[in-house]
Amino acid sequence: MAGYILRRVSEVIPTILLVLTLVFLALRVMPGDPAVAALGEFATPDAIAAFRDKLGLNDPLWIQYISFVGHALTLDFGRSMTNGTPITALLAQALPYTIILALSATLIGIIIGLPLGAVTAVKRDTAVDGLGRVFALIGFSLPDFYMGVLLLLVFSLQLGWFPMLGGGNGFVDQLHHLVLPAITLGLVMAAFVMRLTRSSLLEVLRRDYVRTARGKGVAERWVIFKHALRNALIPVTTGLGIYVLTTLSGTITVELVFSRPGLGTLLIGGVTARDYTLVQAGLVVFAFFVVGVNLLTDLLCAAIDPRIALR
Amino acid sequence: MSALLEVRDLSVHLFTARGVVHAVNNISFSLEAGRTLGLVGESGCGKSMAALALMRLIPSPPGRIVGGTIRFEGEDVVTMDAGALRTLRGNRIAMIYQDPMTTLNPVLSVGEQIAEAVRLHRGDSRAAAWSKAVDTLRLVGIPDPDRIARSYPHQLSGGMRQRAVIAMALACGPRLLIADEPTTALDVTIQAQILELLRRLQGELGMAVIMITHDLGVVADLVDDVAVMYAGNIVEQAPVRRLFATPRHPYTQGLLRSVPSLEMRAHRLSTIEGVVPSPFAMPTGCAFHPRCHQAVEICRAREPVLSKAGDDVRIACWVAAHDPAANPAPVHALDAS
Amino acid sequence: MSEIVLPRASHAAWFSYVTSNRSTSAGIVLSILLVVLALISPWVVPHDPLEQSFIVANQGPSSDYWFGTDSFGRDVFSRVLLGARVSLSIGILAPVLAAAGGVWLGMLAGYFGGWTDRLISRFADLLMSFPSLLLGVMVAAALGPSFRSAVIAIAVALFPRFVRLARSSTQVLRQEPFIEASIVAGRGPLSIMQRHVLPNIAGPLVVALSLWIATAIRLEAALSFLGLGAQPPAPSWGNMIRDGMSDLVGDPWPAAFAGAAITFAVLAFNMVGDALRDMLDPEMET
Repeated sequence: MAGYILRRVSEVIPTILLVLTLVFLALRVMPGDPAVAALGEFATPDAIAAFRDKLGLNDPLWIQYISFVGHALTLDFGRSMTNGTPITALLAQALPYTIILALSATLIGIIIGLPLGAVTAVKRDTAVDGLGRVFALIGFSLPDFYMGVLLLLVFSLQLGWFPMLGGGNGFVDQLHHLVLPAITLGLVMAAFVMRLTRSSLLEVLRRDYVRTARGKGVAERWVIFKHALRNALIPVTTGLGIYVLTTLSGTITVELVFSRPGLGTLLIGGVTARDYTLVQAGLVVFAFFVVGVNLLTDLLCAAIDPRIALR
Repeated sequence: MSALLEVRDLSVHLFTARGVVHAVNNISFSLEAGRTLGLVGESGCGKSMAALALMRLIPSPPGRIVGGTIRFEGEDVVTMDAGALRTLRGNRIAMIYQDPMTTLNPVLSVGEQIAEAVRLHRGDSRAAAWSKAVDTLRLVGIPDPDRIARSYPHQLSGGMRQRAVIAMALACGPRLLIADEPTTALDVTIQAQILELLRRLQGELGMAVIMITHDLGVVADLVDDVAVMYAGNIVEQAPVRRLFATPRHPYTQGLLRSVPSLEMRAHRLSTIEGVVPSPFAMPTGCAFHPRCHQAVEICRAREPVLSKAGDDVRIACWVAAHDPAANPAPVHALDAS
Repeated sequence: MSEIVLPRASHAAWFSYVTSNRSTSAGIVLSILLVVLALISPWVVPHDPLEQSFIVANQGPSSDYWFGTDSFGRDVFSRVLLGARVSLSIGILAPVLAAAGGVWLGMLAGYFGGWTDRLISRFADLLMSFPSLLLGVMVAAALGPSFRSAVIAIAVALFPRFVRLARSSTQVLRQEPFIEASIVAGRGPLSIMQRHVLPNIAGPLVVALSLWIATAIRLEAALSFLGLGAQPPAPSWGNMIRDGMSDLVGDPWPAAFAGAAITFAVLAFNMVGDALRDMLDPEMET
């Protein structure tokens, strides 16, 4: 097991390098001169040249690359081109909103999705299952930001129960602002989790060892909880990692719907403003998150299913 | 004295999209304490279904016990409530299955799976149950039982796994062990070991055993009585030696004839003509009649009933039951040892 | 992925299955309707989607304006119809492109194995470890927002999935004796892939395609909602919602109906994909 952990963690390094390379290349492909974008069309050639120098854009590509990677790994992202603020500060401000949203949505998704999935599997082909099926269908087809718009229309604009935009000030106010966005993403995630849990549990319930457990006289409740569910959760956990990531990327659109000052808003704002360094930083941070979540998922899976570590 | 197990008119039907399958068709048999019954037949004859029915483990959907009684130690399993059923399973009756890899739960340790039964039925503490689990593993001949108890099924070899499954079944000292093709999925050399183990344990623990198999060789060595099944029915039941020496039912005769022996000088292997009927298109009357050389008119019209045809022998055949002289030829005789 | 070699069901059998199942028929009808509408929309729009008129601005649904009007007085229904063009064309084009590239790479990886496989698989896995929207945002951000970058962005996001699909199918088929026979008979690898592998993956491919068209439509909507897709004034469902955000209080209609359109389109293609999958192989994972 320790060997597996070591191996898996060490795989992170080449992955991160690869990802950073991709981000680097992607941004170099960007049309237009960042200097012009920042300084405006009427900037003098000297100003432009000086700006490019400062950003290191005149250096040979491989030097730029090394500098980029070095800075990325030390989380030094320079300054925003729009207003000169150190990007790390901007990130520090924005990150908590995104992380808390993603975590709450995941929590809601699991709390609603797992039990629903288990119940619809056990009570297959009954009314409960039918309802679950409808729920899943809606969750898959409704775009998350549209769900957000609808919730906004009903619960915020019509009923006035929740605020319309922003992140909120103070703990309770922030919680208040968190509810609608978190439910938006959480419901979508719940649909995925429910479907995955259901199919996984149905599959497991057909297995021989479930019959063995019943044949030993184990109560049905324990057959499901102890024998079946633990096996059923293996594919769910793998899927979970993917869904957490999908939720994470979902925060980008939902933050826009609710004008929530998180990482997504920062990134999209940077794109609209052609803020080169900001976009770069945003992409790198998201990429780090992806690698991190994938790692955690793999380790979690190995903990649940002892067979994985031995492969 | 009533028997340990008395099955009367047991029927199990499978309700599928293509029709109803009479997987087990009105079978009756009984088993005394400490005796071994072999339930023999080809794939699909209903022997496994019959075994699962004894503890009401029929997968439902699509199956259901539609009739009959199963009296174990006087109580009818078919009408038992859920609580009583749970007390029965794994405790007074236990079962071992064909494929040990799929029978054991891959995410629980072997010891835990055994200890669970002990805790459940004996109320032992965790520590006591674990210790009993280890002891049982030792009983079934597993070396280093401590380590094995802590291992997971995929870490063991096929033979070891099956021993573990046997240990799991025996942990609570059942009065009846049902063994559903316990050696079919194992290598030949391991098969012999497992059968030897079962024989020894049966002797030591004095439990009754129902051995389900399609392999006549397994049966010959291990059991006291044999019940032969065909297409959901028991067609012949007799003590093992009598069955092998003088099989009465045409199907049994055909079966035994098709086992080649070293003394034979035939050029062709003997077979039973025809094929087992599809469960959706059962023949009328006796299920075997289309393949039977001795069939007469009544065989097509009415299902024969399992009835006594001599001491300890029961046959379901219109021809054989009434006329002992009608099928005289014994098949190759077994050693008298 | 499970066994790929499909039983060759007759066309009649497929047809009767398809029409017998209500949700399948509904899904198929809906998707065909959408595609047709999208194609003919410029000619069937009741009003000019770009025509502005402040007199009729911010109205709710009426007999004249079925979906109401937006803050510029433009007919929402017409805009939704026209938006179908953009959303559906990107939604269908991108997966087709992804399939075109991904299937070949996947077949190469599955056929040759070894380093080719390792390289391609690693690359595909890396792309897949990123959520599709994020990948799409990255590409669209890098290329600058436009119709074309949306297509490329979504194609990049879906591409590794096709690679995986084709790769595992090819791996399974590679073991089959008839492939060996073809090699011995002198066929080149490309020809084998084209003649033997492709027809056998057609089934799962079609299922995947329809499910991922649904995904692509969703992605396109998200990208244009973020301002990274086709640019205004041309309507696309996503940017109609984006524009609608600022006037949500007074005029929720553009956003509401555009979003409903997205939902129906995604639903339709999801249903088709699900039904196709059940038909071909109920145990297949996608």
